[in-house]
Amino acid sequence: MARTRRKRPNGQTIPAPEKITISLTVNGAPRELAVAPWVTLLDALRERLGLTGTKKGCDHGQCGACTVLVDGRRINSCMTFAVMQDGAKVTTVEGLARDGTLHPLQQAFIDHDAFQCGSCTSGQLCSAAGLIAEGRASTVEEIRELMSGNLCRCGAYPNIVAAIQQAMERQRS
Amino acid sequence: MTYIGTSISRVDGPAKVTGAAKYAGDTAASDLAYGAVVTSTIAKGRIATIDTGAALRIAGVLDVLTHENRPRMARRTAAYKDFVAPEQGSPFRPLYDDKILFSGQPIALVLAEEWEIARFAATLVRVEYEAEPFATDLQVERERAAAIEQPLKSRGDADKAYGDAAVRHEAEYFIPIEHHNPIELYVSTVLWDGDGKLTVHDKTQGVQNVRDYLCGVFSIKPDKLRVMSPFMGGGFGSGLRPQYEAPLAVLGAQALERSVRLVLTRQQMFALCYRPATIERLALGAQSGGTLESVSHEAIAVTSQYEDFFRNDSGWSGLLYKSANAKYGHRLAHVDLPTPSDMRAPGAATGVYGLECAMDELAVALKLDPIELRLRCYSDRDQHDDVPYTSKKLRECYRQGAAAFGWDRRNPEQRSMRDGSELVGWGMASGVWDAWQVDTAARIVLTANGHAEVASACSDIGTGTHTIMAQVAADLLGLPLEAVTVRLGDSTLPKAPVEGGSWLAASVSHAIAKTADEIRKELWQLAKAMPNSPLAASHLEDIALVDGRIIDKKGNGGGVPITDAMRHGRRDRLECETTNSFAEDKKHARNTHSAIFAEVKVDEELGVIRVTRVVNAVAAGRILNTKTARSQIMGAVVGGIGMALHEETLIDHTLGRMMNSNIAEYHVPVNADIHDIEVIFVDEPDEIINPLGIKGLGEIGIVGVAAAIANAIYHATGKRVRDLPITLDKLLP
Amino acid sequence: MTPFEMVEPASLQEAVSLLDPQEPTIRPVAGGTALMLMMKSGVFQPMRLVCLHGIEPEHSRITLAANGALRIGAMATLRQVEKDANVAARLPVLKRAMRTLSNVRVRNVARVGGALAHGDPHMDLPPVLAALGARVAIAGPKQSREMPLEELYAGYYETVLEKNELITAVTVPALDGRKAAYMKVTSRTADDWPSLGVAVSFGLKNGAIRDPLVVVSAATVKVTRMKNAEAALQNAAPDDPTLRRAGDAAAEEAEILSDSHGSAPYKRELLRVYLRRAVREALAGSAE
Repeated sequence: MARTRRKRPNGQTIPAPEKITISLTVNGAPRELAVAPWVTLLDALRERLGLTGTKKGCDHGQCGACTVLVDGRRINSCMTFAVMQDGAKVTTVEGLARDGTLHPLQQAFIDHDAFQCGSCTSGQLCSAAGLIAEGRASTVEEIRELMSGNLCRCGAYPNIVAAIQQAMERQRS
Repeated sequence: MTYIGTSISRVDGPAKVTGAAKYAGDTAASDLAYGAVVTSTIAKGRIATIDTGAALRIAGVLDVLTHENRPRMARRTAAYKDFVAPEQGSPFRPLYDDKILFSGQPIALVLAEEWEIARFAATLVRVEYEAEPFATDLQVERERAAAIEQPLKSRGDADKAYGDAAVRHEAEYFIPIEHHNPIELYVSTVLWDGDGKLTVHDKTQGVQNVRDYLCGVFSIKPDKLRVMSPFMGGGFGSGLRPQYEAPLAVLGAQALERSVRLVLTRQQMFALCYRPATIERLALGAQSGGTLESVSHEAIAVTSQYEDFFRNDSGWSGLLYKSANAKYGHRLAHVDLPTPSDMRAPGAATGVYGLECAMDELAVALKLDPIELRLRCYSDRDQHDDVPYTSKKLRECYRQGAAAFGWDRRNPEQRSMRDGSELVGWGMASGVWDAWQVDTAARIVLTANGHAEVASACSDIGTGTHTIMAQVAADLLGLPLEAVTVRLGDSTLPKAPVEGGSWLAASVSHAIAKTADEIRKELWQLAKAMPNSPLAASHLEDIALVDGRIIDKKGNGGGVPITDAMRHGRRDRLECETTNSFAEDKKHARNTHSAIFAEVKVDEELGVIRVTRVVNAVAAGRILNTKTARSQIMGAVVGGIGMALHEETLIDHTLGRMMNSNIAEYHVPVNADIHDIEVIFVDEPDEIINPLGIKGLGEIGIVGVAAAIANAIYHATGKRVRDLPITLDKLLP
Repeated sequence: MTPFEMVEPASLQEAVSLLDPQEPTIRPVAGGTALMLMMKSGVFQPMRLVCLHGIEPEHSRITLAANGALRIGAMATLRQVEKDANVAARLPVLKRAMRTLSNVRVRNVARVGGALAHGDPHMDLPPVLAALGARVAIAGPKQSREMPLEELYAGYYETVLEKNELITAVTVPALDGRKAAYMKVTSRTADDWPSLGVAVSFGLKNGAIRDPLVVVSAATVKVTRMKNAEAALQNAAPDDPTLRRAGDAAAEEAEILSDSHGSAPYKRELLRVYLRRAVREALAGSAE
C-alpha cells in the first residue's frame, strides 16, 4: 500500500489549551514548568520532569501505583491536575533515599522481597511512607486496611506488610 | 554451592525500590511523539467510513493513521504468526483493513506532540460501521462448539466403567473470562535511531519474539530493529505474544520518522487477551473403597473467530490419579472476542479447578477424607505415556501440608466448625504442572579483574530471573555474587525463549551452566600453562571454580587464582557463548506437584467469605532461591484467591462488549483481603530431569488454589458453588 | 479529556460569581477526585473549572459551636474530618466511617463539599451525616440557604443545587446521648464500592428507641430515609422481634437497584440483615 500522508483539513486549526507556569518543589528541588490545565500531576512528573519512578497503572485512581507524597500526605498523582498543586512539595520514590542511603522502607522492601515485577512498588513505598507519617497503624490488620488500594498483582501483600512492620520497628528503636 | 538454594535478596531490588529501573514506558527521547488509540465500538462488521478531519484540526496533532493511510505492512497472514501463536488460524492484524473482529479493536492511531492532545483528538475521530450479527456468550455457543483433535488418548472404556461404578459423581464447573491485569500498562516506546533503525522498548515477556514479529510484519532486517525489555511490570502470560502497541508504535515512528510512545489504557488492555471462559465437565466413577474406575473430563472453552486457542485442561487427572478407564475432550466455541491467551497455569488453573472440586465431591459421596481419597488413587506413573516421573514428591506435599495446616483437627461434617458467629471451612486440593525445558543460549564475559557478565535474551517479569542468573553464574564461576552482572531483555543477546510455562529458570540456568563449563575448561588450560602450575597434572573433570580460584578437587593446595591465570595467559577477557540443548527423554514424565490447604470463614447471614489461611506445599525440584521462590508461590496463591472469589470479566452480550474493563469493577485482591499464606517447599532431589535438578515455579502455585477454597466453602456452608467466582449472592439460599 | 480553562478565585463570593446558572460546563472543583474520573471517561466535558483551593481558609475549618454542634467547612478534606479531635470525641461514628471511606490517598485530597455535592449514592459520608441529622449550608449569588442533608439529593447523581450555588458547610448537631452506627457491605474485594450502606441514630428512653433516623445508600438511587423502618423502631424496645420488623420494613420500602454490586433481591436481603446489625452495633456501645 502506498503511503499517503493525510493533509491537514482546510479551515482553522483549533489551538491546544494554553499552558500555565507553575512551581513545584520536587524531592527538595524547586522545579518550574509550563503545563496545560489538563495535565495530571502524574504526567507532569513522568513526561515533563523525567521522574519515571512513579508509575501509571490505571490513570483512574484505582490501583495506587502513582502514589506520591504531596506536602507529606499520600495522594494518587493521576487524580489531581498539576496546576492544582502549584506551590506544593512533592516527594516521589526518587526522593526517598538520602545521600545514597536507602530509606528504611526501601531496605525493608528488599529484605522482605515485598515486590516482584516492581510496577506497584514506588506507589507502595510512598503510600507506606505516608502511612508511617500518619502514625496510626500499629497492628497487621491496620496496615492491611490502610495499605489497601495499593494493588499488587504479583501478590506480594504479606511481604509488603512485613516490610512495613520492619521499617516501623526500626524507626521506633 | 554458595548461592544456589539460598534466600539472597533480588539483585535488581535496589533499582526497583529507587525508581531507577527503566521500564518500557520510562525511556526518554528528545523527539518523542505520543500515540493514542481509537478502538471499535462494535463487535463485528466493517468500517464504512472513518473521518479523521476534526482530529487533524487540533494543534499539536501530527497525524492520524488508519487502515486507509498507514505505512506498509505485510500482506501474508503468516508474517503475523509469532512464536506463541496458535497453530490454527490467522492472527489479528492491527490497522490492516476495514474488518472488525471484536469490540475494542484498534482502528486508528492518533499521533501528537503531547499525549493529552492525542487522547483528546482520538475522541474526535468519527467512525461509521456496517455492523453484523455477533456471538459472545459461551453458554449459548456451547452447543455449536467443535471438538479439537488433541493428543490425549483415552484409556479403556470410560463410559462403561462409569456405568458400572459403585459411586458416581458428575458435574459441570465454570470459570469465567479472567484478565491478567498486570499493574503496568501495555506500552511501547519506539526510538527512531535514524537511518531506518529502530529500538523498540516494549512491554513483553519475549524480546526476540517481538523482534521477529516486527521484522516480519514490517519487512525490516533483524539488525535494524532491536527490542528491549529489561524490566517488565508483570505479565502473567499476557505478554507472551506481541501485543498491538508494538506494531502500532512502529507504524507511528515510520509515519513520523521520529520516536513514538504509545501507552494503552487499562480499558484497551481488556481487548488484548484473557483467560478463556471454560466449562469443565467431569464424571468420576469409583469403587466404594475409593479407587477410581473411570474419569471423563471434557472442557468447552471460548476462542476467537480467527484463531483456535486451547491448552490442556482435561488431561491432568492422568498424572494425578490412577484410573484404568479415562477419556478426555476439548471443544471450542468460536465467539466474536479477541483470541484468548495463556494466563498463569493455562489449562491447569481451570482444568484442575474442575477436577479437584469433583474429587472433593467424590470424597464426600464416599465418606472419605479428601486426602485419603487422593492417596488411594495416587499415581506413580504418567498414565498418558505410561512412564514414571523424574521425581514426584506429592505424597510428601500432602503430608507436610496437612501437618502445617493442622488438617487432623478437621471435623469432616459440613457446617460443623465455627468461630464465633462465623462458619469455618477447611478444604484441600492437589496441584500439578509441567516441568518443561527449552533450548536456550547464554554468554559469559569474564574479565581479568575477576568480574563476569552473564547475558541471555530472556525476560524477568518479576519472577526473579536477574537474581537466579546471577546466583547460578556466581556459583559455577566461583565468583562472589557482587562480581556478576546480568543482562537480559535485549533482543541482541543470545537466543532465549519467551518467559512462560515455568520453563525459563531451568532453561537459562543450564545455558549458563554449560557456558560456565566452557569457561572452566579455558581457565584450566590457562592455569596449566603457568610455570610450576599446581594444576599441571590435574584432570579437567576434577577442576572446579571456587572462591575466585581454579582448584583441583583431588589435589592439595589452593589452586590458581582466576585473575592470575588470565593475566599470565595475557587474556583481558574470556568470552564464551553456548546453546544448551536438553536431551530428549521419552522414558520419564516431568512435572511439579503441590497440595493446597485453605481455611475460609463465612458470615452465614450474608455469605461474606474470608480466606483466612492457606498452606501451599510444593514439590518442584531444586529451589534456586528460597526467598523469591516463596514470593512466587505466595503471589500465585493470591491470584488463586482472586480466581476463587473476585475475578470475572462481564460481557454485555447484547453489545458484545466487556462491561467491567477497569480495575475498580474487575476485582483483584487488595491487601486487606489477604491473610496468612504459608509456603512449604518439599525436598525433591531430581537427578534425572536435568543436571541441576530444576523444575520451575511460575505456574504451580496457582493450580488447585481455587479448588481448595471452593472445597473449604462447601465444608463451611454445605453449599456447593461450582461457578467461579464464588460471590456472596451465590451462597445465599 | 477535552480542553478546559482553570480559574482560581480568592474568595467564595468570587467563586460563586464565576459560576453560571445556565452553563453546565462550568463547574467548581474542590479535591477533584470524582470530577477527574468523569472527565477522563468523557462523561463530563467542562469548559471552565473554578478551583476552590484559594478561597478563604475558614471554609476548611471544623469548629465546635456553643450548643455542641460541629460545623464542618466544605473545603475540609475527608482526612481532616477523620483526624479532627472534636469529631473523634463527639461523633466517633463519623470518624469510623471515614476510615473505610475510599482510601487514604483519596481522603487526603477529596473535600467534604465535593463528596456531598457529587450525589453519588455509593458514597459513605452522606448517609452517615444524614442519619446524624446534619444540615447543609449553601451559598448562592444573592442568598444563602440551609436544608437537612437528605433533602439535598434529588436522584441518581442529582442534587437540588443550582449551578451557581456552592455548599459552604455541613452542621452536625450534638448527639446528646443518641446512639449511632454506620455499616456498609462490599460484595467482593475489601476496596470495592459498597453494595449497601446503612446508617442509624436514635435516642433511648426507658429502654425504648426514640426518634430513630434510618438512612440507606448505595443500594438505592439516592440517600434515602427509611420512614417505615423508623416507625417500626419508634417507642419499641430494641429486641429481636422489633429489629426484625424494622429490617423487613426497610427491605420492603427501599427502592433497590440491581447492578454489578449485587442483584436487588440480594441487596434487599443485605438490608434486612444490616439494619439489625447497625442498630445492635449502635446499642453495643462499641459504637460509642
